[in-house]
Amino acid sequence: MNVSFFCGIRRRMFLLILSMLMLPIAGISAEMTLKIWDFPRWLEPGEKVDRFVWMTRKLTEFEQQNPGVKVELTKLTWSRGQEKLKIAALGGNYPDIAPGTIPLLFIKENMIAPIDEYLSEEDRADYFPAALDAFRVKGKVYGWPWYMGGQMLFVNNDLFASAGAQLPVDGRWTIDEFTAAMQQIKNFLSQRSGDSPALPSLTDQGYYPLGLYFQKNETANFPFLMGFGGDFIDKEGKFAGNRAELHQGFKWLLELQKNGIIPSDSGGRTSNDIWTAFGREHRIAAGAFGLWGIQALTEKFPMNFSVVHFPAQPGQINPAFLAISGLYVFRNEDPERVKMAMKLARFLTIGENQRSLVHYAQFPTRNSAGNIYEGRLHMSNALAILREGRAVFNDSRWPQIDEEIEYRIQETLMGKEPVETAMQKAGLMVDRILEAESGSIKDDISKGSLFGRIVLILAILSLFFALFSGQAHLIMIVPAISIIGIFLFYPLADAFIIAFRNYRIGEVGGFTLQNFTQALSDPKFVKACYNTVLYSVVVVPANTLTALIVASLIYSLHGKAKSFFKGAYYLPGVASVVVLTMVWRWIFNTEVGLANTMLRWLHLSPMGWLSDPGIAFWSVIATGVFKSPGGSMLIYLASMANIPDSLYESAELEGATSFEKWWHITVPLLRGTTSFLLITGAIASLQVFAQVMMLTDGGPGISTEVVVHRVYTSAFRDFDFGLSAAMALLLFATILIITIIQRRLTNHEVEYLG
Amino acid sequence: MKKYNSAEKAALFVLVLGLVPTAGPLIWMIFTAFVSSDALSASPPRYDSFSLENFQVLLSAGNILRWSVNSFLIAAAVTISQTIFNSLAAFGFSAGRFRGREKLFWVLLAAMMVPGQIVMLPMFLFMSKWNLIDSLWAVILPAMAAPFGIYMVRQYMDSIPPSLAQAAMMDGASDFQIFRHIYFPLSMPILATSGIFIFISEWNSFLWPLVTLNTEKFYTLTVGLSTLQDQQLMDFGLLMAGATLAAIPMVLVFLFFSRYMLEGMRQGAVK
Repeated sequence: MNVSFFCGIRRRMFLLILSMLMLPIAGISAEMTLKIWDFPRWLEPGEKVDRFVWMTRKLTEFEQQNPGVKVELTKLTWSRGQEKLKIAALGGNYPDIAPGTIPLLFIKENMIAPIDEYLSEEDRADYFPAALDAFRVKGKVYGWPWYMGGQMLFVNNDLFASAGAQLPVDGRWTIDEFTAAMQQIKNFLSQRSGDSPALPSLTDQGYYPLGLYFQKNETANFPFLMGFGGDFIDKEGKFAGNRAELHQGFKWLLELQKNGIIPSDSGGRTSNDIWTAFGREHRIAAGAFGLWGIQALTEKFPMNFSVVHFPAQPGQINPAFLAISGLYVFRNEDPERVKMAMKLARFLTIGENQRSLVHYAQFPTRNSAGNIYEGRLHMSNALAILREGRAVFNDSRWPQIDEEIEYRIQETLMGKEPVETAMQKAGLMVDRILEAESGSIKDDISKGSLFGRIVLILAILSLFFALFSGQAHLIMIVPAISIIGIFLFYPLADAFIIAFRNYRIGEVGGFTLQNFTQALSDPKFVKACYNTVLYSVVVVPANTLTALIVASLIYSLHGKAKSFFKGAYYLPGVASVVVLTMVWRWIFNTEVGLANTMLRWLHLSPMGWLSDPGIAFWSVIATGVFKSPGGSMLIYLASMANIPDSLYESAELEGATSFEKWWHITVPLLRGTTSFLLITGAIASLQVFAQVMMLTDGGPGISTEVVVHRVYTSAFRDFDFGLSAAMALLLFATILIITIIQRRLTNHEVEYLG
Repeated sequence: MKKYNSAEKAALFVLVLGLVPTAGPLIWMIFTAFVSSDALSASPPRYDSFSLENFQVLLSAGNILRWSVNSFLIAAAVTISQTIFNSLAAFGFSAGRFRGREKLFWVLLAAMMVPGQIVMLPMFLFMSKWNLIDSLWAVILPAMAAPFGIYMVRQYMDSIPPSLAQAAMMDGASDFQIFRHIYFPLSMPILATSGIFIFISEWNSFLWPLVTLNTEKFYTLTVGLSTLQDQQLMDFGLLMAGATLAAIPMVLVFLFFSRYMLEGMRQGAVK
């Protein structure tokens, strides 16, 4: 290397550039830049796409009122926004202010500043008590309540009227009255129109009385289970799903299902399915939605509807679930910064600014905002319902508990398990979750593994050795080896450590095999393994066979046709799995998808391609089977070109047909290529993920779980790092074994050809 | 034009039929992208109107352009850096005569078997320690060199006759000059092929960007599109328009470079 490089003029220029790079870092401190993250909100009147207009305007107002303060807005998306916020915050990359319901996880991690000392007496008097309660943990308030919503029951007035069914007086009805009304609608829908029994009834056209959905993070339909006084978690924070009151709710729903009032695949429907059926196609008489439903049904999809209470036992109320959202402030070493962030969070949620919520179809949380829905019937009714509403279980472990519960509800409604066993199983899992010690996750992240560090240090030492050895070739290898070492071998070593330790939220225990036993005894992981193997066993041979047939046919062609088909079959393979899966998701959509549209057109009854647990995974498999055979096809074509023509010529002399030549010469001689493709295909298909993530997210129930999806969700949704790493290692071991088999086979092939 | 006999006609028929499930969804996607969302949301949906509405809405929302730029930046950066680092390392392995060369190469090959998911979590944890999460670097850095690329390029370089390098060395060329003026230009065919494949696979990558990119402005096209489809009121016309926009660049890459891609696959197979 040229020694004079760092001398003389070049060195001075280098220093100059370096100091120029440093300048902006020194210049920051004069102003304060607050970071706020927010979700898309309402469209201001006249605005078409930008859902951040209001927030941007308010932030500018705040900046004008507080000279020297800049506010930087990061725009989140609704889908997976909370998950993203969690991941970002745990990674140490959090803003000053973030939106949402009470951030229990962050509060547990001591990351959120309580607002009590910033809350004036007027503020306390102004807020609805329920709103402040929603943000209170152990006597302290952890956020500025902003708006209030919740889910209530919507009914289609026209369908009720046509069936002659009674709408509830002042919105309240008992369970018996509700059941009777539903039964009446059911009878009306299954009537044949007129005298000709050949004509399909409304039921045959996809109409039904009541739409339900039970999915992760969806509390909307819980009141249907809790109408008899049951609950999943009792006042003491214990699992209560084993009690008779809740079982009664389940049995009532199963009864409704038996009578055809709710569809048999209710366990797998999503809120989107039910919304489409209720709000867009008017095929169902009742369904539970959030406040946004009122807005959508008055503006975008107008219909004649009412919002009513959930059916309750006589004299009782069956409360709807509330959702109270606000802005919370992260702790910071700089007290001035926290103070300014509090000021901003308060400013955005004062009564005057809450009046804009009228565009958002949410209720204010402060008295001073006034009645912003004056004279609007549905919103006033909704407020009356939500006044009696209840909060969900206030615990950071709720998302995990919820996932267990929802899964068991789905299983029960699909008739897979009687409610008693399902709830007993749920209880076991929930108790385990509740028993887990609560501690800090941030500790986990800052603790690097010793082994990983040793590997890293050894790697760095050997790189130095390479650099000073003066061997040009070694130096050329250094960049690539360092990148691969840092980003592959180092994390790989870490993965081993994590997998063999108790690396759950809050517990960084000693070395253990618990993660592996837990993985193997978890029904979700077992199902995931089964599905992954099933996927590979069906998809890999199917793909290879398709590739072989297509390649053989193309090989027999000439000229333009040959290159056309080569390209046409290869082309879909360059589009990403994400793109193709989006198309498939649409094709399989229960309500408006192409597959069901065609079934209806053929007068067959539509199928729940992605919502029926018996079919959903086969739909996932279908997307794998129908993917482009491009790569394998080209490899086959290349191998076919290596088969000597003389073999075919001598076969022709003996009068062999084209098929005989193919079957007796081509196929056997391609055996090596076939086994290569089968094995590489198996390795790839064992890692199937994107399709599942986007088509079903593992649902309905756990019917479409695959291994990598489990690896992803246990790490990034449940933060159970040890379990996730253990499952990833099991997958790695499987792939390793297959790879070793492949090496053996390919060695054989080389000998055979040689 | 050449006449086809009956067997060939049958083959053509089967091939056309086979395109229905494989290429069909893509054609359907492009077709639907041009139907207005009103016509699509009617029940039953109508497909008789042609409209650019979906594309206008998508583009005016502004995000999709940003996501495309991100995807392009990532794919381009990764392609360029892999081409440089992979070929440098491949040359080091191919022409170098140092102790432990084959052992080191074998270790590199072993790395090819490690599935991405297993290193995902530890890598996420240590990247967040270094504050790399939620920036394009989080996606670019780990992909700047890859064992498979090194392997492919080295196989190719091994077939370059060593006499060329020896002659250059006689004339006093340094090792780097030999790389720069002999091996690198001679390896162009394989570098082009692998470069195209790297570009496509980075453009299409999903899981790692999904995990590391948190803010909308840093999303890649695949991550952004996957969030579009999860919103409350799904608009399929809009989704298909987005998917079409994501697919078109790759189709163009294929149309322009199909010769390299189809040939490259063959070389990879015969190796």
